[in-house]
Amino acid sequence: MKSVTVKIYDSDYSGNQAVAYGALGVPVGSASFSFDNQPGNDLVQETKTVTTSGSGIVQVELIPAPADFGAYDMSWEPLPPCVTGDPVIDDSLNRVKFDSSFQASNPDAPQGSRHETYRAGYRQPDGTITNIDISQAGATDCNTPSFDPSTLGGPGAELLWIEHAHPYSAEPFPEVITRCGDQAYDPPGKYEPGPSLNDWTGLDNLNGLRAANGLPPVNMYVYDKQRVYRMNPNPTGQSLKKYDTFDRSGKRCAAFRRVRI
Amino acid sequence: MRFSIQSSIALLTVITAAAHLQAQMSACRPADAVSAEMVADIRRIATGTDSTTAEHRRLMGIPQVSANQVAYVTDKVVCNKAVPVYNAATRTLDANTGQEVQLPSGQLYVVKAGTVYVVWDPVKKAGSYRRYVTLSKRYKVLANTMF
Repeated sequence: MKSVTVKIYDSDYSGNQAVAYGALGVPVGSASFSFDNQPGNDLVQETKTVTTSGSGIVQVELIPAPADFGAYDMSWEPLPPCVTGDPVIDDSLNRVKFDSSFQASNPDAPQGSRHETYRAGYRQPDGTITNIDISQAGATDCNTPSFDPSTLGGPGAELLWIEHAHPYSAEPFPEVITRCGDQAYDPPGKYEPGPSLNDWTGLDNLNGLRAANGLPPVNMYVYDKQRVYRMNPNPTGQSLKKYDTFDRSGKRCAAFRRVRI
Repeated sequence: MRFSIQSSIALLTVITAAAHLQAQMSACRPADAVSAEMVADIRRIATGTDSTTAEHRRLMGIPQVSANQVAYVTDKVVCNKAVPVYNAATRTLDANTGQEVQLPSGQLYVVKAGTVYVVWDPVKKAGSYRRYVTLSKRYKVLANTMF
């Protein structure tokens, strides 16, 4: 919740208060109520609002003054929707498909039995936008055989974006990779959160071809357990390896929000 | 007896030449397009001021330095010392048989960033990830990442 409004009835003594807590269980705001030191007359009815600018209020504690018997009404204002400003990520249907595709990569299965999954957005000849599963056979935890997503949207479909899963954890610490497919690593290495260098090569090659054919570049979105990375090609398709990071953990927000790492 | 002396001289010549060749061999890969890209990547990470590059620096054990402190290494002393450390840090086994696969090439791309070396043998990949190892100036492993 963004804010909580509490109305107290018949506040008689000092100490009546409302304390709002954030997701970490830490107080993020509070309000104290007036009193008249005269029990039973219901003269003091007061309304106070606690507002937070942070990640929101998840719990409110109403603390009565000692020996007081008050009553309360409460209302709240929800947080604004978790808008990233990216039309692909902010689309509710895409969010559902992003998530189901990620879950299909088996991110919680033992390493060696996960696999990258791919989807892509296409504009169909009738103008509708479709989000299609283009996952490839032979994909492993850390690799997908090369393929061209341009032609997989159906006859006349125009590729708009690509998305794929990295079935690993980025937080609180990057996952240690001990195995991928049939390969075991001794000692293991750490997952480096973000697009892999191979992801950049694939996207750059694709956008280079698109530029040569007079087509605009496309973005690629990479998912791991907690984040989405939007790989941003520049207009010429030349690689700048710039990407934006969004949180998809849903700890405080049901969907996505822009983060600073 | 005469034949024997000639053989000994020839053998000595071969041994000397082999030793000389070995001493001259460098484990540094010559600079090419891959090394140029690697230098650009490490330079971007080492010099970046945004939170993303800061996270990469932390995970990869790379210090924040100026662009001119990031350079490709062709010093065979450095590369030759890095080879055994890198190889030991990136052993890859067939999970079914336990047999070592991705046998090292013995030649590395080495990029110096301030006081550390970021090292990669292009044979060593984890799927689409490169297996970068960051070494200290004393050739201790600081980080082992799938990049």
